[in-house]
Amino acid sequence: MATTADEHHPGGAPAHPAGPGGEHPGHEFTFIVNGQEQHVREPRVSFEGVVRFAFPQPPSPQTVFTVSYRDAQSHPSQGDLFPGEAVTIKQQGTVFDVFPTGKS
Amino acid sequence: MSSQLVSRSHDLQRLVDEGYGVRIQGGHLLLEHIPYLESDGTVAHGVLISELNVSGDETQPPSPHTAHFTGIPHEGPGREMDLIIHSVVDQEMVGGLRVRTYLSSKPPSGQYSDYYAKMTQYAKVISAPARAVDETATARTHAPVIVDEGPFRYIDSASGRAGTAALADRLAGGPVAIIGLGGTGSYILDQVAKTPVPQIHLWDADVFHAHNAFRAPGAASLEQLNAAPRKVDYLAEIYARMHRGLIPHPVYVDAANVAELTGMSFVFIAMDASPVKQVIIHALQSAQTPFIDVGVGLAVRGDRLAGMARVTSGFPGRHEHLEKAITYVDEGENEYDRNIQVAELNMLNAALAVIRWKKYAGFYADGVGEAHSTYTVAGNMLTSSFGQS
Repeated sequence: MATTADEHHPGGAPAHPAGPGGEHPGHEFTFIVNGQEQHVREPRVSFEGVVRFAFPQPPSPQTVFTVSYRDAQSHPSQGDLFPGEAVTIKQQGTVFDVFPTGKS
Repeated sequence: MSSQLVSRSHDLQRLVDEGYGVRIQGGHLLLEHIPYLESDGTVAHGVLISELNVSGDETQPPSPHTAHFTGIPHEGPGREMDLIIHSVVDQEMVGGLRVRTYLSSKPPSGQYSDYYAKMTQYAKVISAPARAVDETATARTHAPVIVDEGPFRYIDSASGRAGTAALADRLAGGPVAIIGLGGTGSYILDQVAKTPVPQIHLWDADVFHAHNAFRAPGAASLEQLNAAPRKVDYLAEIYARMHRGLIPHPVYVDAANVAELTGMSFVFIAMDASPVKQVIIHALQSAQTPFIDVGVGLAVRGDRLAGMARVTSGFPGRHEHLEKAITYVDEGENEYDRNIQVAELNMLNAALAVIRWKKYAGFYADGVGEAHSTYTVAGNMLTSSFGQS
């Protein structure tokens, strides 16, 4: 269940002594989409998946959302995410923002 | 205004009164038709060019004491005027004029008191040998004063003082259009109006309301709001105080009139997402017209606002990313939309777009060449995507 999360983690990933994220397929990966904590079992998170977390009932199937991420396992660890793309997240601490950016 | 610069500056007025061909162009003072001797001893005419130090519409003391000339003045056949020629050069200076000599004639006091003293001293020295050959040769032709300050109503002394006038000229390539004069479009105008683009076309049919005043540069008065002006007319009137090239179009751009964007050297699209935006972008792609589309998105997160600002560029030959980056769905039709916008995010979105345009035009250094960039408020993060350096 999604809960409100504090975005102000200390820089980088929280400590996880067993190794970097991605080495424990049985573990959940915890990340944040638009301020809400989310969990997945696999570390690859797609643009489409992030949008579904942010907008479970999309306002319109044609909306092209603007997605940015930071503190990811992927290199680069931050940037923009586009339809058809995915990033590898850390076990904890990767943050996504998802907005329709159509206002002027 | 520049025409007042002459009348309010006693030194320039005196040059005009005595019949010198005064021209003010690109932040420089020019004296035209100065007779001089060519190397073969014949009389020719050249243009004397000086920096022009102004404050408002009055001249200040000249600095430095040097000047440029479009010819190589001679004392006599085969003898260059070594007394004042610092160096022979070949460079484009202002208004397409090519200068051939850099002149230095320092007065005993070290500095000329005004532009009359400076310009007449150089003119007298340069033309003396020519007048010895032809006593009718004169710089005092009583030609009309020409004040050519490009699109500005007063001299761009900011670029002149900083020595960036030649860079600013790169922005003057052609007319620019801004489609949508809401929060972001009005701040784009605020920046573009300070560049020497020849024309700025403003497209929007909306009326300027109180809520717009809180997302636009400057401060509208209650009287102005009560008059319910169109956004384009309200803004054109303000920025016409500074820039001569404002052209308001109080209509929306759509399929019927999108062809009117033909001939624009650059287009800023600062309108809300809509199917019409797609029509405009397709037309600009077909015409190979470079453009930037901007947009912000804001939403309540907990008890705060979160959001993003986006700048997406469509440069000729680089359009593949557009369908992944720009939405054409009118969010106003869905439940999520509360049309939250805040002035500084519109302003930031506008500034990022104008910086990107200036990089494209060769004004700013560009090490990334991005075609898409976002600013995420909560993460304080600026991204660059689809780079091509």
